[in-house]
Amino acid sequence: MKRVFPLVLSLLASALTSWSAPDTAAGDEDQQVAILQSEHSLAEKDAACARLKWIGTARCVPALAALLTDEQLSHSARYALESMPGPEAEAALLQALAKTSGSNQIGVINSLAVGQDTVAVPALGKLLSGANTNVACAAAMALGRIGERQAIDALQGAWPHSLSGALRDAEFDGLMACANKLLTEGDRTAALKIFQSLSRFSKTEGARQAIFRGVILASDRGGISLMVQAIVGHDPAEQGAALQVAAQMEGSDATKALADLLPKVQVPVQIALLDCLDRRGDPSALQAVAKMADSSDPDVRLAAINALGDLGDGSVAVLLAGKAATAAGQEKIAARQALVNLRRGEVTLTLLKAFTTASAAVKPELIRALGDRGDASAVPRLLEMARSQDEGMRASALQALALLAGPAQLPDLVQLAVQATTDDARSEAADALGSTCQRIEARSGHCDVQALVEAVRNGPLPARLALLPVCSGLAEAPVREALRDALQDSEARVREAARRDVCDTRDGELMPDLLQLASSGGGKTRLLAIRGCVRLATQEEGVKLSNDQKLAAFKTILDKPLEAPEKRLVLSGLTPIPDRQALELAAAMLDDQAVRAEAAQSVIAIAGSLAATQPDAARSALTKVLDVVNDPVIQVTAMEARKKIWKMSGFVTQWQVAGPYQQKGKNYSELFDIPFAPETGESASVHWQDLAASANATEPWNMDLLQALGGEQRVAYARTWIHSATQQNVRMEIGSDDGVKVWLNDRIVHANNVARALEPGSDGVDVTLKGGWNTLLLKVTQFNQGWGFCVRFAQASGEPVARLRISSNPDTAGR
Amino acid sequence: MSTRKFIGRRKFLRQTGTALASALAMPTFIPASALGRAGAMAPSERITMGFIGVGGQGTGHLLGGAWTYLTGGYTARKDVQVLATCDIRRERREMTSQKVNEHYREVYGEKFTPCKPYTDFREVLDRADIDAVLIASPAHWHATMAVMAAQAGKDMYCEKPSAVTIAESQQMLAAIKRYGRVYQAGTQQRSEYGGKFRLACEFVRSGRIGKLQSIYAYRDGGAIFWPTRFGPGKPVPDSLDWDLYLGPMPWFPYDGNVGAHRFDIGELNWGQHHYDIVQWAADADHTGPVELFMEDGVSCYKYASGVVVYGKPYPGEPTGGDGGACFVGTAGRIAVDRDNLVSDPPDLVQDPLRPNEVHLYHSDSHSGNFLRCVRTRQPTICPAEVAQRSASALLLGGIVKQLKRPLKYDPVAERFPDDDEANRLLTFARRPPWNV
Repeated sequence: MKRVFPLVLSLLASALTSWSAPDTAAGDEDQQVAILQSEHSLAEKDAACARLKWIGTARCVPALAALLTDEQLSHSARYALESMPGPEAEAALLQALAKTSGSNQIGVINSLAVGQDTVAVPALGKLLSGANTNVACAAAMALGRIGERQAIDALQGAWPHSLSGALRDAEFDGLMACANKLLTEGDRTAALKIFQSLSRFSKTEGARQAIFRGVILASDRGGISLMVQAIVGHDPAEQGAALQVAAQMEGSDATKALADLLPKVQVPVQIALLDCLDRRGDPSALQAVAKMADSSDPDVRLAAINALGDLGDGSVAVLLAGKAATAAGQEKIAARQALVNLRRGEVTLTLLKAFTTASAAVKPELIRALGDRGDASAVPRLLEMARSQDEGMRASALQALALLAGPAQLPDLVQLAVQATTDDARSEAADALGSTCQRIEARSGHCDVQALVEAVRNGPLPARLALLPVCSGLAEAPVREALRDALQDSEARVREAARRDVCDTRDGELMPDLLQLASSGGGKTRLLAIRGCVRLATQEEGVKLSNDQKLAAFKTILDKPLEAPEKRLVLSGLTPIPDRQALELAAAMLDDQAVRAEAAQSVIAIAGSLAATQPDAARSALTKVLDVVNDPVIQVTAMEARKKIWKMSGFVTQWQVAGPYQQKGKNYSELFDIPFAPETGESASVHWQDLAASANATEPWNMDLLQALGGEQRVAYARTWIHSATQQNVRMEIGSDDGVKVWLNDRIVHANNVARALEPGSDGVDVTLKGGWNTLLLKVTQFNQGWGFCVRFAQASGEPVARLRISSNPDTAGR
Repeated sequence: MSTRKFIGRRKFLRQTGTALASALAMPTFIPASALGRAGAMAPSERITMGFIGVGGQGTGHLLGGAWTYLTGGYTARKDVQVLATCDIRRERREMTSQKVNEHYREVYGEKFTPCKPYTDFREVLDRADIDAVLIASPAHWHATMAVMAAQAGKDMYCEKPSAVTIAESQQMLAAIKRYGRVYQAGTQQRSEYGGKFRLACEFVRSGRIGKLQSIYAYRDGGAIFWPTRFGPGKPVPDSLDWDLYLGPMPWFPYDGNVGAHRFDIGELNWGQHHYDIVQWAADADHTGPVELFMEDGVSCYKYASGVVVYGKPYPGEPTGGDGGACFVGTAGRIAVDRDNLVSDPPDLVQDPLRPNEVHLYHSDSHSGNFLRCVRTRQPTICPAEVAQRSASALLLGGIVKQLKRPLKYDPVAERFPDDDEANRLLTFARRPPWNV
């Protein structure tokens, strides 16, 4: 879809035309030169310059150079010359310096600056002392862009003699550009000289800050001292510059200087310094930063902890674990994150070793960190800890294993559940196992469940009961069979657990088992099974059921007598299915007073999803809602839904199309009024073909000409016939991308020469349909991108017109 | 910039919170009340701002509105004092300054420095009492105003596109560096929309989709065109400064169109949003493509990493059109836009970002991030270096669209090697006196 900027379109069209590379560039160039050197209009000469921007060579330079002094065309000539390769263009601009004045001269100076050619420096230097301040300013900035030794000399020769504020600012900018260029090139000494020469005469805070930044960066080792003094000083401009470059200053001595400042400055600066040290990434600051982690100021502690994560190694792991255990709020979160961020040294080993000495409060944080760090080398030790009788350690180890354990550890995790001596321990082990299995299954699409299934089938009863819930989270065939067998187990508690777990399953293959439970189970199990069916059908992303399969499941459930809560569950499952059968099943439940409100909401939702594809069925179901439901809110919602359906429906989608038609040199707008065969009656030469209706359910109205015919700057015609039982006045609602002209029964009833996006009802026109067949012909123009149209007929009230027949077949329409 | 470096800032900014945000920047003599800990902020400690360009976008930032990210806009912030609104249309500048003053009168009584309306942005830049400007002028003005704001010692937020030519973007960046100014580009997707874009980039850079192979950017390149200069004009309304509207663009008679994007071609308006996210996810914030080509009529790129970027939607994937992209890797794909973050397989984006995965610069509020960095002198989430590259990606697409042939590009030299024809399109002659 295009954006609509009608007023620029003609300009854009000409610009686009000028972009096309010609087949014969030299011939084209000569042609443009001829235009420039003749009596052509300003517009034509400007267009020639624009063309030469693309193709111009040394051949065209004299013609362009002659325009540089032209008040009207100087800018156009520069447009071509400024970016032209080769020395001729540069020379022409340079020569024009002496021939131009005022605005044209400034333009030439600016274009010379783009080329950054040192040849221009002497001439530009002379202009610094010229009478025209604006010209001198432009020259100063241009010299700054060129930035070579000669340019610097010229600028320094003028500075600071210029008394004009504007010229001083321009010279300042030029010299700043030169100095920064020298800095980039590594010539700090020369850069420093310039910065120092500027500093004596610059008073604004912005200028002082910029200079001081340069002075620090150019001062080599002395820069560190300057930076330090500024940070502890009281000049906001210098302090701001120093804090800005603190992270950039190279070398460990800069790190040391900044770290040494930490205890000497006030809290806000401490925090800024900690951030700078963090960004520098130099671990030599570690100890100084670590001390700040015990500051009395909470914000300083927080900044220090953050920095420790990036700068630290194993030596601060215990410190951070202690913070994680004892701090609160953001500090605690930061400490945990910092533990994960540690990258230097043997962090994992340190964390594991720390278990022997860590306090009970710190141990869980150490384990948590191991898990969060994703370091699988910690797994063997974590398994040992998971067997501990220490509840806190065991729970933390299992949490870490849930994140770290791989396929090889699945039997170990099963054994932890089997051998657990308390319900809590079993449950925690089963949770860790479940998380591990699901993680492995999600990543590799499969999980080896042999150990799990063996334990579920043959393990001790407490372990079987603990591990059955793990099965509900997996979609593996052996697990499925184990669950099915458990449903028939001789032990009642196992059967009950299996029923619960089948109801919770993520495995779409268990849908038949769920339906069986929904049909035969009693009370709570039945409700859980229906809920499971609805979830599997509509919410589990891993379960891919077609709408037909979903509907078959719901029909099976609905075949049995259901209680209201059960019907509500089914309705919740039907609601997201955009299918006519779903609509009918929901609409049928409108007859049940107990679930009428829910059924109405379901019907409204499904009808909305069918608005484009099945508007009649949707409208009919909504009418039933309006007939049987008294709730005013539902009434309003249903009426709104019916209105929306009308917005999406009633469009004429049977059309024949002819074209495209183009004419050399004519754009879409000009083509609008040029008649082609379909409107001139030369029907024999017109090839009409059927136009496919939209396949896009969200835009059923879109008769897509771009897809059918393609291209830009052209028109096409579309025709169809409308049968009205009687003569009647109707409103024709038209949308088009781009312009549209409409003939009804061979008479023009509407014309809108425009560039726009397709929007139904953009135009409306009152027309009279005669009784019998009416001929409708459209001409639609194409600028670029989207191209299409839509038409429908409405009553004056906005409601659909009843009993219209449409045919795009002239035979049917008696033509 | 390395990930590690970003991690440091991210955590710092995220975890220090609002109070610390104010504290960081304070010179040593700033009282504790300015740290935000005491609640109120003295007028002298507020960041003073001027708003240049108060059309739909600028007014949204200033006063809030349907699309904006902050209720009541910058005007409603307690840590900001708006001193100027500037627009070439009289009704806009006067309406906005009036509304700002009405708000301040309501909040502060009669004791406040009033917001003044300006026609010429240079007068705003001349005000020594203004710390920062928000530039929401027409697109062809952005880089020029950014350079001049830097020269005037102002920090700035600048709308996208950050520039309309590659050369202009380079000058913008050079000026921001030269004057040590804080710059934030108007690519809010890094901060807003619930962090969806950041999370998508973190997932991609953490390898959740395996090795990144291609990116569908949903929109392709953009450029600016040379307008038809001579033709019939209309009388310029008294309330409008037409010359100042045109600025660096060639002069032509007033024709009634003072749109912010009237010189745009292609996706110049929206493209930078997309390419900002493309480059963030591809870890290409400080580089650019090495090859450009056309496919199916849209501009496409290849990076040195081998990643190919297509300026079109991923086939059949609706998520991505609204400012987003679809990232395709060896193990799946992730698509993101302002409303959705989705993946195939779905679980790629369902697991929360793990602590040991890549964490990027974190900001939950674009305006909050800008103001924090004005105080702290630290880089914003979209600094000039990043903006210059994302704008360049967009503009390079505009060049290949115009030339319609494969191009080689040197992202270090920022030139097309041995390709004079393409290099011509790196610049656009500017109308005097406007220069960068």
